[in-house]
Amino acid sequence: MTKKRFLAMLLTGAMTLSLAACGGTSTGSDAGTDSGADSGSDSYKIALIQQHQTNAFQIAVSEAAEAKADELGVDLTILSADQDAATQISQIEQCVSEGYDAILFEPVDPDGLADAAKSAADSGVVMINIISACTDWQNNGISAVSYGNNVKAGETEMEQVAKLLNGKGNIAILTGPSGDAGGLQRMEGYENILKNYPEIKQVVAPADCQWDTASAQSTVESWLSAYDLDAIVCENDGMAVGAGNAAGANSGIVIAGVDGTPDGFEAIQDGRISGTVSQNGGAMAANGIEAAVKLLKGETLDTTEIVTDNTWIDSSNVKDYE
Amino acid sequence: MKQKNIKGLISEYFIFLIFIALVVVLTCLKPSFIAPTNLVNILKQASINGILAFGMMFVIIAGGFDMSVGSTVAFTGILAALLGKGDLPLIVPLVVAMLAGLAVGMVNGIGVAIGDLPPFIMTLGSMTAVRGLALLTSNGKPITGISKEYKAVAASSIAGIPMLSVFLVIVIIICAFVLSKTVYGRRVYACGGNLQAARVSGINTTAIRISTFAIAGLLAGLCGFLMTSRVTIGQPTAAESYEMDAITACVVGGVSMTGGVGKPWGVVIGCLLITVIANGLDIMGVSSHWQKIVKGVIIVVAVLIDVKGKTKKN
Amino acid sequence: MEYVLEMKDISKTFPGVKALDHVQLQVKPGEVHALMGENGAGKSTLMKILMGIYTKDNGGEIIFNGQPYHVSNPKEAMDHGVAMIHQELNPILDMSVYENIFVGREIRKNGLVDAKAEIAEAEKLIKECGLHVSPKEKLRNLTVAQCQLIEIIKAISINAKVIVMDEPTAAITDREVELLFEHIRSLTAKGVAIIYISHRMDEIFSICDRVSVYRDGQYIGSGDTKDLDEAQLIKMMVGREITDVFPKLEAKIGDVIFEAKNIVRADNKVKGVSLSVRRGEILGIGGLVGAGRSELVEGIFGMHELASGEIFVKGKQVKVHSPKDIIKEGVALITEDRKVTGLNLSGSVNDNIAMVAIKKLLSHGLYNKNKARAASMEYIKKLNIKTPSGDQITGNLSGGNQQKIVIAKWLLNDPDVIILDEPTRGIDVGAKRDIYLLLGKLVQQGKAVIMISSEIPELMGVCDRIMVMCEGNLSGEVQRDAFSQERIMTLASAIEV
Repeated sequence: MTKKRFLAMLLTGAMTLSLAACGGTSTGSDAGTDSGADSGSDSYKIALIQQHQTNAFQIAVSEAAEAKADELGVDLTILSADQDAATQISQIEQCVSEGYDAILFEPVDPDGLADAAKSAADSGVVMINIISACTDWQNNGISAVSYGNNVKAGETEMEQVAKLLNGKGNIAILTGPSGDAGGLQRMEGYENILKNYPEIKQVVAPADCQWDTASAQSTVESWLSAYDLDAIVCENDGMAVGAGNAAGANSGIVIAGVDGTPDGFEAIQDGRISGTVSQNGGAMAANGIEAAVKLLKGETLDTTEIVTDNTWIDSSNVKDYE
Repeated sequence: MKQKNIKGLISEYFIFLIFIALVVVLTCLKPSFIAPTNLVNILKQASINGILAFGMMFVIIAGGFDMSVGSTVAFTGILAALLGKGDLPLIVPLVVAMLAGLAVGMVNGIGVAIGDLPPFIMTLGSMTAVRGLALLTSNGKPITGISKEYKAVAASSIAGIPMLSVFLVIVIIICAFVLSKTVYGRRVYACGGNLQAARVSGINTTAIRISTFAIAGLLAGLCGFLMTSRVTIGQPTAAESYEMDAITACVVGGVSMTGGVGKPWGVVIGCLLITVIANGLDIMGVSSHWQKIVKGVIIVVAVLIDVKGKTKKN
Repeated sequence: MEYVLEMKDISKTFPGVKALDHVQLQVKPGEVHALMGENGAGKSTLMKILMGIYTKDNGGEIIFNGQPYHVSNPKEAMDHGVAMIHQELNPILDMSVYENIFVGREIRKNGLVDAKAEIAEAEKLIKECGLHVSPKEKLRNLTVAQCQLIEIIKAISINAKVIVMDEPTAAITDREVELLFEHIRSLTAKGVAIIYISHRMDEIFSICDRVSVYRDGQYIGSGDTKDLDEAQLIKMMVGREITDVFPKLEAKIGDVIFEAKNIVRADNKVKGVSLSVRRGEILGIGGLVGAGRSELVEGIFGMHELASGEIFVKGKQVKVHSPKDIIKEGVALITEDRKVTGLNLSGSVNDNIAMVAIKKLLSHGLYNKNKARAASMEYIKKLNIKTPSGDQITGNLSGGNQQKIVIAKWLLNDPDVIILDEPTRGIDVGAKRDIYLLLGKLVQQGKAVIMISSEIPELMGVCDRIMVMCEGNLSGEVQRDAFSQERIMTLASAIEV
């Protein structure tokens, strides 16, 4: 009996802690307690469901969304799906039943979230995708998407690498978890560019380093003892930093990442990596919220596909972004 | 009789034979595998997992199990990164990280030995909670800007031997000594071998079990400190599933999951084996998908040998 | 000093149960003193108080060696010179002989373990005991009897003045028993007192000097074994004549209902055993622990692979691949360890009773709680299960009531052949009687019962026929009119050469 109670206490403790950590910040009313009736008549209730809140990119998304919500005077609640599609589906359902006016979300799985989005839209909630989009989003109740284009980001990164190599050299690629949609799109961008540079060769199979710095560092250490590499192209900054650590500062090897996170900027400054493609997640979130408010007011959007441009950041302009 | 002995020897040193065979095969396939620079790589790459595995070894020998060490590495790594930014002497982040790890370990140990919770449940809970702590203290962002001196800890080497491996060797020597020569070590084996027997023999099994978790936590704290130095940033998401690699190193090295059995040299081989598999396959440019398959097969085979090797007593 | 150990006026109360009620024990130096009593009589509790595992209630005292004796854990007891060899042997199988001998009391040099000294000391002790094993050998590689001797060596090595042996012969062969007795005699010659707990009458009379008897937590009396006979002892232990202990109902014996031919298990733990049982008959299976009795019935029941063997139920051959195949034919197996294989201890009484015959408790294909409750109530009454309600958590009931629930759960399925493996182990005398009566009623209804038991008096009291196994073989069969304890013991150890 006491054993069970102790266990229950422990688990509750663990959950509270992890919720406190993952739940992130919420401005305005708390999901789950509010019926929506008490919020001001012209204050819209908007929910933002992030894939997760465990890296700098996602934190930038929440911060920009909060700032935009304050600016527009809307009531914003931010939730984290913790990389789990099922969690995200129930969060959407929960938000619908609690009477939110609009839901912005980054789908954990582009196919798996389509039905949940559609039924939420059918019950009159404005549904908007940010950062990435559901498959066939126009027909699944999504009113607008605000994203960067991962394919384009990949193209920018590889184009810059090719330029630095003068169109010739041995390269290797570090990828995110196999099957991750964003990673696959960046890879597509790489391939689009590599077609134009027949003299750039991949000398090893791309390695899945799970977005992880330490894992990338080990892999690249091993590679460098066996291959003569001119460039290492990474699908995010965390892995680029790992590659940079393995190669050392100013190694002469071109190392590039995507995301534009603080650890990436630090590595650019001390010469461990050459550059990164900033995806500007914050702008995507802000544009998404703006679109939601417009739609709720009955206005029409100039375009339902809002694309945030990416920028190449290297030692020449890194100071502007920190 | 003699034949039986040879058989016994082979089954006892089987994992060592596998390791040698693997090294030979890799060298033949890719001679650069055996190049000094790569051997240094292997030592570096084995170090953090090796230190974790030795902490894990204490817990498993005493009949426990610790799922939380990966999260503890991330959490203590964040603390070390926060403290390693300024001009504080490096001993501060080191000691704070180790004490924080020790605290997590003590909580685990108390939950298991006094609260009587299954180790799996207790450490699953702390795994989640401590990961939360890591995210909370870092606000979900990587901690950048640690000092040059701190970065140099993992990057430097002594007489060509990477500093990380020096830490590993010190840990190995201390752990091996404690387990084989001290009364405490003997009692750790006794607790895992037969908890009831240890208790009726007058051993304070509660204290022993708590202490093994505390050691695992302490060493996880050391790993957190080293990890931050190695990757030059403190990451709340770092060391995901490192507990699995540590457990794998132990199991492959002949530490029995039922407790009471395991030799330090076996764990050294176990963790070198895992590192060599990853390193060798990286060098050969084999896709990571295959690496997972190979690692999985080796774990199952190793445990199979462990189970079959013990003639079950009626 | 007449007594080396005196325990006076000892009581122990557990929540809701008075386990010991003002009992006493006096042990003289150099004697073998038997503690006797049914399970639950309080012998183990008394010894656990002596070892400091339990704390006695206030009042009463223990005098050891003329001094008041207070211990709070086994280590302190051992430091005083009191050691115990537990019923469930406690070797650490993956440790060597010398490590086991010195566990908890390691020999130290400069604060570290002095393995050399331990090995040398162990070697000496092993030689003194006439055992031929290396001190470095792992206990996993020793026989049960050798492990037993290691435990004794451990007790000797602390210079114990009193050694408690709880059922030391439960798992060893006759020849090894002889060896053990020799060691006991050489210990008593040196003035060591042995407290000997056993259920085997023959052992009590051959090795023990005096005996103290306990029943239901009370002290009944003591005496010299040479002044007592078996019947007197049993009467002291159970408090009534033996015929009352084993009630036997008359039943008409009919046709063969169940037959197993030439059962050989794939792991060779059963080497070709056949058995058959008739309607109205209770067949007993006797033998020592490890003789292959449980292995036989588990093999028949499809829980283990058979190398060969045929099974017939009501004249029809049944192919058994898994327990389901034979349950369908109306055979039930009530396993030995009810906590592991028989009961869901955290479930309610109702849930447990409904577990097997769940198909009978459905309405429109769904589990019907009311039906289950009604069925459960019926059996709670029929089997005299003492529980506050059907919703009680099974783990909170006594062993006897748990055992009845296991039986109820199978009876609800209305089997024709009921196999019980040690159905009365660890339960009190009253519950045992209920179970014997229940078995009698079942065979009166024309069912057949097969019962495994290690207690020969129980088999002799309840069964119509006893088959005895030894080392995986059938060593003989005895009809009720030819029952004798000696006969069965001989058969149980027959193949021993």
